[in-house]
Amino acid sequence: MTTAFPSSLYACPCSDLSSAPTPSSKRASIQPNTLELSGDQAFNPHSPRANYALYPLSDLLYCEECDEIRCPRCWTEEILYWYCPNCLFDVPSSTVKGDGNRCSRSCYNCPSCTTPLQITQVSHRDEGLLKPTDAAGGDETYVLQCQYCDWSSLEIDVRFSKPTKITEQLAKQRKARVSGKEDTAPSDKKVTAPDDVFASLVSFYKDQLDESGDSRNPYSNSPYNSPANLARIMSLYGGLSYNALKKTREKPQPMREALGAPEGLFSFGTDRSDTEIISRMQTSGWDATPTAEQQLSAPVNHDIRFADELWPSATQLRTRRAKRCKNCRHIIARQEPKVGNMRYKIRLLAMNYIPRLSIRPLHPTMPLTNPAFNLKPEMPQHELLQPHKAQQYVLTIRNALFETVKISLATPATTPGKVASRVTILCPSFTVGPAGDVWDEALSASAEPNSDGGRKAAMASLTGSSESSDRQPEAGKIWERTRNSTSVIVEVVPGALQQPPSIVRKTDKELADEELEEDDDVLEVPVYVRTEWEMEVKPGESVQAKKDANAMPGEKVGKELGYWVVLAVGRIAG
Amino acid sequence: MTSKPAAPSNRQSSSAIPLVKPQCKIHPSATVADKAQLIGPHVIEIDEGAVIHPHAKIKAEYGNIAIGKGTIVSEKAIVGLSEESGEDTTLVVGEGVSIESGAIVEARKIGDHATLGINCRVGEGAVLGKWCKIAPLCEVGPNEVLDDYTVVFGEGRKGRRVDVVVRDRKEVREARLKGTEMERQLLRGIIVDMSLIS
Repeated sequence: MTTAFPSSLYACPCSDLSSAPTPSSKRASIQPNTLELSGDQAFNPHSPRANYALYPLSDLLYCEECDEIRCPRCWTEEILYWYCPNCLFDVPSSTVKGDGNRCSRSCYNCPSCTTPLQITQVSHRDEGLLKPTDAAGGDETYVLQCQYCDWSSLEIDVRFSKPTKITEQLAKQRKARVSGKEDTAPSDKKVTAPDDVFASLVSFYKDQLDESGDSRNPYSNSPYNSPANLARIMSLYGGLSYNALKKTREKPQPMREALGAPEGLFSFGTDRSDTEIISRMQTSGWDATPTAEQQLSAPVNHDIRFADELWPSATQLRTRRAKRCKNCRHIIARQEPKVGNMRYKIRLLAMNYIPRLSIRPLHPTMPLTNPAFNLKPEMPQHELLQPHKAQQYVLTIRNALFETVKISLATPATTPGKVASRVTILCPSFTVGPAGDVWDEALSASAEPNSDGGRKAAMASLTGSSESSDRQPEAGKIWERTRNSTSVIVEVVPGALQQPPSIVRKTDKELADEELEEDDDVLEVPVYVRTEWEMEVKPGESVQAKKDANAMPGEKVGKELGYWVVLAVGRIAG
Repeated sequence: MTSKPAAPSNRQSSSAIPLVKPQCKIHPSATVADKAQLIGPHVIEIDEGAVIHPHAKIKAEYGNIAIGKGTIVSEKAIVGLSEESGEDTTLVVGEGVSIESGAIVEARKIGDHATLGINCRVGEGAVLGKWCKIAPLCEVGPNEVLDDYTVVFGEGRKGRRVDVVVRDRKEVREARLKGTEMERQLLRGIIVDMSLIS
């Protein structure tokens, strides 16, 4: 799943794939510290659903009230504010509800390549006209120009007289064009009857709507646009006052549709003259017509039949969202309300609360490189794991809390999935020290012999030998302990990718089941991590329900957290 | 202008050809930077007023190259065929063409005043008309013929458009010509011409 090995992914407990394993009932004496995992209880990282349950630690948040991990599936998002991605202006939500989620300033997108358009100056000079000697050298007009595909609004013959308030100027030009079409005198009665019809329909509707008089915003679908509309809708079922109620009993005249030809009603007949459009489509082909996306980009484009007649569309607004825990409605991430500001007011990251696991080979054959430092774009070659050859890895658990935590690890003896590799954690139960300030470490005495600046340390670093390179991993012993992290050894024996040929003939279904799919050769070790620690209830802090209800301020409350982690160790050769 | 063997290019070359000094016909008013790479053995012709940036590569390994008047070849652009093509061809770059940085040009002919965007690729044997524009990162296939005033900004036929504004309005073309002339003047001030030396 990941390209860089080894790596670790965390499963949020909200998913039903990651149910906590129960102690096996087969054992006579069940020790509460050790967890036996049977194959089907374990998290199967190769199952197709696992892709949706695993996240890198950077994607997870933590809810302090519930003391649980929150993944993108178990938090809700709510909108903080709306803004335009081009001009970065904050748009108040009332404007968004009224005018739709588009920028109403001057941000437009190119109809052919959807990049933002820039307002450019062009000189306006008519060809073929003799320039009068006292003319002021070509007046400058403005157009919208696309920097990527060179589309400009000159293609639809739209120029602007000033660089601001493009929306108004565009609307004016659009209206002028539409009404200009109706005003052209019909040359032939039959052919241009639609124009007549359109003209009368438009005037009818204008009369019907003359009480509103507000400018129509093309992007808004809201019927509450104008006060007159709002009043009409509210009075539909009686309104608010007694007088209004009386008025509804006298039949009100809602806006009605056109009823006859003089009012502009036109019924679809077979003599509609689209022949011009159709013949032009036949010659210029499919590519000259706009795609559905282009037509839907703006209401002015809905009826456009040819791609060179498309109008630019206003940029869509984006939102900034805050994240809330689904259970307790506590805010777990929120940014500053200012538009350009990327600082977080509240940010409860999981990596500040849960222990972090990482894995590395004990005897590295290749130098460990951070993928961020790759200079060449090709992927670094990872060494493949040989089947049936035992490998040892150092599993490091880093503690982010300020208290000592007690960790219990559990992993199934063989990895679930098609390729069964054997995994053993040499020391599954241990404690990890608290994270603290760096001053704590400097002031307290260091326990490691090689870390003080004495002669022994200098000698050890000069000769290059230290005890760690000759050490052998032992079962039940911790490999390394630092102030806030502990490392243990995990032994992995990769399984073979192909089953050995067996005497018993397998059915087709069994053969199909054994077929390896993509990424089935990646050795992924699911580990169930259970952390326990004691938290002091601060005086004045609100006590949560259930377990902490009996705690008095000042007492220590035990807390625990359990979750699955999938460690991707590498690919198996074969 | 270096014509000495440089590091082997990271494109597929069939053999490690010892880089040969080409036969160059460089107009005295052309500006060729010191670190530009001109590789032979065929003929490279650079017309008047052209500007070749440092680290531009003009490779006449499999055919001749002719660079027209006032053309600008930016750094990391590679002009020239990368494979043996058969016949003895000449890659003709027209006048006033602007080849932006990283472009890979293997065409047969680039029309006058065309603009090849950053990191674009023009395949072998392609013919571009005049005033064409290839947007950054776009590709023109081998042997593709583009009409005059075509803009390539996407994939396939939907990604090509005839720029009627440039075609029909003279003042837009004049504005562009003025822009490229100003760019050339600026570059002549910055790039030190080394074509007469070595």
